[in-house]
Amino acid sequence: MPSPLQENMPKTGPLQNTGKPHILMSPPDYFTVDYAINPWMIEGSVDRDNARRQWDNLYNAITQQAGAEVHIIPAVEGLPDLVFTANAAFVHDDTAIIAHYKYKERQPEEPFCEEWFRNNGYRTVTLPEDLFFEGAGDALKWQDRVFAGYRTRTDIISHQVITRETGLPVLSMELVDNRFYHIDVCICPLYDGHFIYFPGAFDEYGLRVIEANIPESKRVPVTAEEAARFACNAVNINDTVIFNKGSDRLAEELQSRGFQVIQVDLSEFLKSGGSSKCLTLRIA
Amino acid sequence: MQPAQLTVIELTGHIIDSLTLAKVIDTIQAHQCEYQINDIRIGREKNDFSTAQISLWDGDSAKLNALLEQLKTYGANPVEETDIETVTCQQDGILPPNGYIRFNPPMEVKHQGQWLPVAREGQDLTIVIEPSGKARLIQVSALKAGDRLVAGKNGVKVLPTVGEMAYA
Repeated sequence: MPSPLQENMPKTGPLQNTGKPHILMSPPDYFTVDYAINPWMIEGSVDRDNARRQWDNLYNAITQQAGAEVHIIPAVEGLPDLVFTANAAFVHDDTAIIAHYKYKERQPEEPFCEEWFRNNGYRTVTLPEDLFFEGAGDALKWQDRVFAGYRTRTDIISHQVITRETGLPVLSMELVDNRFYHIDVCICPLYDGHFIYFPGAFDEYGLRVIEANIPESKRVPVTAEEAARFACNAVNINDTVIFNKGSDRLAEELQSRGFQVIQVDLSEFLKSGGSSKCLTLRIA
Repeated sequence: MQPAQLTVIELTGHIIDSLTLAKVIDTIQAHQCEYQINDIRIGREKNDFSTAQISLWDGDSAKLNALLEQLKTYGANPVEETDIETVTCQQDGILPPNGYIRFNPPMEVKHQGQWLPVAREGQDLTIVIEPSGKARLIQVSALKAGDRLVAGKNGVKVLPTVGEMAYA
């Protein structure tokens, strides 16, 4: 039976090596908050025109200021959270481990994302029905290892799949505050070894893992107020860091450490519990 | 006292560096259930998994079940009771590929649907299924070509040696 997705999916072929970082985004054409699956979601609250303006500003910051190349997975009517491409997969080299969402509302996104990666030259890995894993929302590379979250959305057993399929060791971190339901809303590893994190999202074991792996000089803790403005949910492209506006103290600290910081108003997406990192997926 | 319910759990992954094993043991102690670590295998390379197998028991099955439910969050699940797999010894005294070195606690193996007690002797041990159908823990040096060994961990239950317990 022909795939119902075929007519919607671009056939772009394997990624061209342009020397630029590659980012996957999906426009907010059908973005809304029709259901609440995290504590931030407020049903019916989104101004879609404003969301589109904010998404365009993020797109421009990534392409024009940070110099990355953005690939687009088309929006699909009825899948409002497809805009949050960070959750679509965990990508390492040519392998894409496709998300299997905990909530049935997001599960229809999975075949669209799997087909996009397959069409673009990736080896795709899918998970069994009873094993939940929410892509780069819950698995972030830092140097030669992966910090991965579990409990709220992702099962810890799925972390074994990351190691098995990519060879990367995984540090499993329990997310103990339901507001920080993915690890990418409470940590952000930066390209040179710096590590933004919100200590309140972890228990003593998680904090000890951070202390054991990240040199003190590279740790950048954020306050509860900054974490609630999704300061950890940042996009890092080389020495540029992009996050939601309103965290000036963090911006100044990162600038003092040599980073260029861009703050973008992403307030419409915060109504759904996502910000700049959630809206992007590094794919190469 | 009611007979204790015994459950064997196993967890695998980067459980040392992630402190998951420490969290599991702290959680067991907080629930005040009896436990014994039967086996820990530490990965050698950075992308190798480590594995721990732990026996848990308690006279209060509701308390034990609540603990087991919490441990599932940490990836520590009851060992699946599958039948064993076997591998044949090719050369006297040599452990074949997929052979498995055992420690020496009391053990049972599930063979053709039956749990068999394993007779114990010596160190550097492996389990042989004798032609008579009995399971025996023997020294690797005593292996004979043609012996049938239990491969891996599936279908092997390590029984605790400490604490007060009874089996139904």
